[in-house]
Amino acid sequence: MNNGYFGAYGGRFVPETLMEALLDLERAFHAAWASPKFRDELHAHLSRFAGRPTPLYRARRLEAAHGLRRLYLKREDLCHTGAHKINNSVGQALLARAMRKRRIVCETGAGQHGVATASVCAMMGLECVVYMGRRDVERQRPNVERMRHFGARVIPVASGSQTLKDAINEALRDWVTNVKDTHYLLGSVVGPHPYPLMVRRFHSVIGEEARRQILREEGRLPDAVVACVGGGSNAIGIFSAFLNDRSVRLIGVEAEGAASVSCGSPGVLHGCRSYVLQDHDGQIRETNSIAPGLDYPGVGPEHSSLRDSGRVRYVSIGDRQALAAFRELSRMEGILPALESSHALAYAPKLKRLRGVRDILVNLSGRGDKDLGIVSGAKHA
Amino acid sequence: MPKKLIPYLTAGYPDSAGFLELLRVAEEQADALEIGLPFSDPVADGPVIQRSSQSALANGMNLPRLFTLLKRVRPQRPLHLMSYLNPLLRPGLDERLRTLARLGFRSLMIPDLPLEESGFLMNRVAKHGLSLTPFLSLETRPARARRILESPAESIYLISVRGTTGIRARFSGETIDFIRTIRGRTEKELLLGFGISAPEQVRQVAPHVDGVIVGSALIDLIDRSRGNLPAITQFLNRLRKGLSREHRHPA
Repeated sequence: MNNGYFGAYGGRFVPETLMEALLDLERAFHAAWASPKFRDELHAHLSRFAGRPTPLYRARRLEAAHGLRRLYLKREDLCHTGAHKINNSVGQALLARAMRKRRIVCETGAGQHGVATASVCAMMGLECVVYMGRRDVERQRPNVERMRHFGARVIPVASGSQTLKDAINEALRDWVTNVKDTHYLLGSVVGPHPYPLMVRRFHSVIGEEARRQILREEGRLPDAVVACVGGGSNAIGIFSAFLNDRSVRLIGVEAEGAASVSCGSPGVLHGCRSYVLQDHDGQIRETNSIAPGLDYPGVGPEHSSLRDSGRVRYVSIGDRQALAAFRELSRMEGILPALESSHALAYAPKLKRLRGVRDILVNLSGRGDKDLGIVSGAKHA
Repeated sequence: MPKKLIPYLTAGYPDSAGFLELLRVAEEQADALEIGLPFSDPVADGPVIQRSSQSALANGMNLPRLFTLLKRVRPQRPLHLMSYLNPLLRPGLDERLRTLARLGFRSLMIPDLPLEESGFLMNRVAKHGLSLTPFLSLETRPARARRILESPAESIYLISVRGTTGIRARFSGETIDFIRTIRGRTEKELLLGFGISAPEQVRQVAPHVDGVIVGSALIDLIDRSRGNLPAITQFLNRLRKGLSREHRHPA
């Protein structure tokens, strides 16, 4: 990380009206992160409100079914509001309060970031506006209801593909307009600096816990860590603790219809230079995935850098395989995974083909209650 | 110096032929023209220009096609290209910059390229005799404003409001103060954009700027009048009068 860049990726490609706000945010974040008082408060909220630490669960029936030696799941689905997203929402809301911004805007795809942010805003007495693609509003109905119960205003976005990309566009437009009193609580490791760095720090707790937990259980590191990648926040969160463990393979699993890292090329979208899905004119392509949280044509800049360095391998999984993994985990372990996390689950068994990969850790980034509509709709497809 | 009226047109909107007609009509009233290359995700734009961009993209507009169209009509006024960064970052950028300069473009206005990120492009653009027009906003603080004013560009784009492009009734006292402050700090050409839609507004700001850019209000009129060219001429003419009347009787 240098001047807002991870290697050749990152930066601050935003309208001038947002530049001072980003510089303020960067200063506020560094000051807060260095402050024991801020860290104590963050820790207290994570343990008492968000439910951390989350357990590490060994999926023995799945191990048996797939002939794996050990398969561990990091249970981020057990976080308050049902996904890892709350780590970042708590952190940024504390920061917004410190910066005296009383109004929060955010985007959401699957609705998990919106629900987490709405919940934290309710707890801290902040105004909350959530932008969500109209298509996602329709397919993630339960999360829309939850946000409204928390007092958030959910604004459906009808432009473009009506998914996460368009929700981010609209949240940015709101922020440009209301920058004086508003904090944009961006929900992934994307966007202009300092978001990719800041969101990474707030989610690094996932990897720190998981590494400690597996060492305590097994006395050794896993051979591979697997996480799904849309913007890539849960993946960065868990990978960050293992980046220096050269023996641990790191695998990012994208959705086949939105495989920015696997199939994209470097470009600039939503304030950062990173891999994006684009046509030959540099127009951003529309994506299509059964998992709204992965349905995004860009990715966090650190992932682009990790792809180029080869430290993380990026693969993709299609809708059908993700659905099969959803059903399998539900049936065999009694856990409903989010369709996003199901992409990581679907890829994990394929790793046993690789020499030396016997213990696998999967980040179960969210729970799947929100997806019952999509899953039952897809039953006979 | 007379104040400049700079109409904005989305390239390829409402279609290729319509765009060329609009270009011709706008040119009669204009001192320069700003041509917007449409982008799929225009975060600095309000609904009107979002729609025109989407529509132009659906018609297949891109930079090579814009070049083909402009070669056909050869506008005589100086041109400015408004484009988000990503559509410019394609292979063959230098060749494209050369073509832009040959077609009469003077500068590139890139709304998602702040000063801090512009280093990689500034020299390449200059090599072809073009410049990057930097933006100043109501939020820009003195230290950064100074650096932006020191950039090699001839003109500065002043963003009149917090927000996206779109139609607004009048400017706040804050906007007027902002423009006057910047006027006091630089001899560079100051072009005011975002939200300019009526002659009264133009009169309000004309004493302090060198030109105004009118975008959403023009596109909106094109939509509402279904491309009625006399209506467009009349609208631009009224804005022009707003500018020049002020010029004769400075406040």
